[in-house]
Amino acid sequence: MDTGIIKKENIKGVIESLMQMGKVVAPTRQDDMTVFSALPSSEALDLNYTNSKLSPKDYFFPQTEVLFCYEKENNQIHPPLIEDKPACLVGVRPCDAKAITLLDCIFNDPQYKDVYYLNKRKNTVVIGLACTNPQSTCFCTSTGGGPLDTTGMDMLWQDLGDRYLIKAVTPQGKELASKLFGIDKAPEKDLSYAKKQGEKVLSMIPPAFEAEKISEKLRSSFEDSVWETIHEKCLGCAACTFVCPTCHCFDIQDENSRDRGRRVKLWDSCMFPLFTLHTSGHNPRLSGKERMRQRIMHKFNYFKVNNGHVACVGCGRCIRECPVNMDIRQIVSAFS
Amino acid sequence: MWSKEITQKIRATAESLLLEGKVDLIIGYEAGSTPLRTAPSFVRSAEQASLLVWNPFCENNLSVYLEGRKEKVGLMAKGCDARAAVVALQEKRIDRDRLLIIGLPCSGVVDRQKLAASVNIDAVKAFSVDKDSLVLQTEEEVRLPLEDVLHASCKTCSRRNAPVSDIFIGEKSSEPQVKDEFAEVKSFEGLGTQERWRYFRELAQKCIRCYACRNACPLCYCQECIVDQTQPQWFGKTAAEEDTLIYHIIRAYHCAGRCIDCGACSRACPMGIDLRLLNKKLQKDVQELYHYIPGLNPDEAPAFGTFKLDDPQDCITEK
Repeated sequence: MDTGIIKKENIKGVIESLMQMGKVVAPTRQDDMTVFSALPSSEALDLNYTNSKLSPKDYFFPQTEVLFCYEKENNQIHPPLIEDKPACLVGVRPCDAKAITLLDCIFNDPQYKDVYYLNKRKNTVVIGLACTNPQSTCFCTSTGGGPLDTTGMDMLWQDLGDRYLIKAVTPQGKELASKLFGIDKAPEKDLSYAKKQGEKVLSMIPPAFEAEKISEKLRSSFEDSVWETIHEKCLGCAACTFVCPTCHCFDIQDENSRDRGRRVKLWDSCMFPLFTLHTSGHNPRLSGKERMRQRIMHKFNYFKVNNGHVACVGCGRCIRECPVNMDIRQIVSAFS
Repeated sequence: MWSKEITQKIRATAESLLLEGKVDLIIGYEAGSTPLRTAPSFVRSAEQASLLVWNPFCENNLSVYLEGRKEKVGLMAKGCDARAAVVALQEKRIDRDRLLIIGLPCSGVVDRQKLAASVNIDAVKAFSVDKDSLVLQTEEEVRLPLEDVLHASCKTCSRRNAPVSDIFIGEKSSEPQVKDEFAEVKSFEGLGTQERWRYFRELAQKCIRCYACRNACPLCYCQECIVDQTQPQWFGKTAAEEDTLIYHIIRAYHCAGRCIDCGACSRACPMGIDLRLLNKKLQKDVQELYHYIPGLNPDEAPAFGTFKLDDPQDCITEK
């Protein structure tokens, strides 16, 4: 793998070069939280964050996305502007970068292609940021990830104090790195320091469960009595699914006014009763029990069967943001 | 007061209530899975009573779990949990004889989002309360005055003890002298239209419509919330500013004269939105217009469940 070094004092210049090439979406501070947004200037970049409030999934899969607008007069349909300019996602944590590859399973399905998603995906380079300071809610090592995992990235940056070690992961990443700062082989002492740092951080995230085993167990646990009580404290809001980097369920709505309207794609959540409400009034997932079971089963069983990986990357946002401290590690561990 | 002795007394009380068959279920708090968190706990057997804890991180309003319960419930209640239960009793959501209110001496709960801004919560290995200080064990000991890290709703609260309880554990907390609980509302009222509008727009822009606020609220028990109605669908479901604002404004109006300002909505919000201001304004209006403070007396009719001939009518603008 090609490697290189950039001094932190040069990051600003790198970001400015990137901004000249296209849109740069990166972590920025807003009030008391870090969120991903299009950088207005290189000053706004915050690479010292632990993890962002919301994952960068919103960039590829926005909470609200207009599919097209229409006017009654002359049956006019206006497709939205498809973004085809190059863009760069900077500072994406390994968990969130991996999550993008899981979203690909859905929106780049062999049969059904989401052009809105794929256009952005194809034009976007993903620059990852290795983890140096995991949180108490992190559990990526339980879902096949780790602080140096490069899945879903074109390039990885690793904070070594006064510099970043750069690893080019894909040919696109290598090409971009060569343009920006040149890349070949970082000094041996930086490489060995980076390796040690990675091992240290890895040891700070002990696995909470074995995802493989749990997937296997869940296959025969639909009627398990655990579901009867495990959901009891859950309030049934969508904080967990909306902050989740892999949750991808959406609704499509037509918003009409008298003579015009728009069709929008918007985030939906399996934790809402309305999600499964039939036109007849029947609801197959009547209570929190069925809804919690669906969320866990989809992440750790159905998605695994369909796509070969569990739909969880261990970012821990659902644990951190849950108003009642529902801990997904504890839920799945009940099936270990 | 937050103390280990209160926790011990709670466990002993829960154990005997369950053993004597006086309740089927105790709803309380247990230790959370991450530092400085607790989680709602559902204790159905005497053996489980040892799970219960009492500390300044008992932030949820547990009355939210009373809706639709058939069992006889013992509710661990701060002042605000009990007041929300009183509203539920007034509105005939629960039977008084199926509810046992276990009053607890609250000293205000910690705003963990505010705390996280000054302390690395993940580094906290243990905590304790020493008089008026929160003591956090990180690599070094961090001492913070509790007053500085309390949730905003607790800072304007002068009803820390349950106004109605069947059992009270420990000594009642002294009620703080709050100078003016509506000070923030008053300064907001003093702002110009544009500034107030900007405040609401910023609120809507942050909101992700996860409805954590609604679901954490003990008053939001509608069988079908207006946002979930589809025939007709009253307004849009996207994160568009106008639709998000309508949701918040409707929710605030639905809680007018009922909201006891427990702050559960604000604490539940993953995006750190201060949802209380809107509710607090309506609370002030109800207090000024109808001299009514919700959640104090289960036998009293709620503000909008009754009328007096001399009620102010200025709100009726069409003649």
